Amino acid sequence: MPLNAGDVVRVAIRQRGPQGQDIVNVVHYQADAEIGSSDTEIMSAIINTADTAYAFLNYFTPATQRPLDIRADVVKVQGGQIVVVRPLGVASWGFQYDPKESGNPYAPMIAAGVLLRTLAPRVLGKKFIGALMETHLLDHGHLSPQLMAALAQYAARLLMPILLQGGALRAGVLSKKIGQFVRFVEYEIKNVPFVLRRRRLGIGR
Amino acid sequence: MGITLLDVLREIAHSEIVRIVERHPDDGQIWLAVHFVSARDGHYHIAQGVGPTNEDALRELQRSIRRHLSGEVYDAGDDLPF
Repeated sequence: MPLNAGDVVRVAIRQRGPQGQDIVNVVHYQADAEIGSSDTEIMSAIINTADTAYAFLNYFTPATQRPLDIRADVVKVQGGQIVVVRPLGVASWGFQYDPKESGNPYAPMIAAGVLLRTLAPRVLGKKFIGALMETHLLDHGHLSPQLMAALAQYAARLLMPILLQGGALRAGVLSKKIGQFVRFVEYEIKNVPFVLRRRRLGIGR
Repeated sequence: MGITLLDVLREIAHSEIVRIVERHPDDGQIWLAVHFVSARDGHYHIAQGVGPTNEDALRELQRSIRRHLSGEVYDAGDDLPF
């Protein structure tokens, strides 16, 4: 089934963390024109984008962390809430993303972070990239430059338009606050880790 | 094989990298900036590169970093807005 111009797709990228916890990153994309591709083709393109983006983190992610599945749904804001219009599909991933790092990860709620900005004030995306390894958190609590460069490549890949038949999917935020989709125009990588309290063990599983 | 961000960051391997920013405004240009505290002079610098492609922006960023390291560009205030 095609996507109409302006349709928003929510993509939930799920992994199993080294302590057995779920790690989920959610990205929203909007169709910039009517897209004639089938749901299978759209899923395939989404998985390719996520897979190649996360592959930049192969040497910064513990080998005990595994990709699980990617779920995509067409969604919209209705009455201040995000509701599913129709599911696009669920598929496995991890064809190029294959974490290889050995060593100790930090506690689950400590993560490297990617800040994604839009042109709308105070509407932004935050991606918590875990699990963070001890080897990449240096003196004074600063992330290693190698990890920062990898995060920049990851973010740049995630923000590249997903080209499909007739149009493209572009990443952004489906904001409940302003009730519409806003595209990302900038990413920022800081040298300090993010903290995500809800990712502590036993929560969000 | 083109230049990568990691190649560019090797120029400041001993400095403290504080922030990396990439912006895609609607004018077709890519803006890249690296904020760092130079190991050479201890100052906070903002090197930046702009170009129509990622590679152009990276090469411009590399030149900017070299200007900062050489002392030609002195401090954060000499840079374009980031």
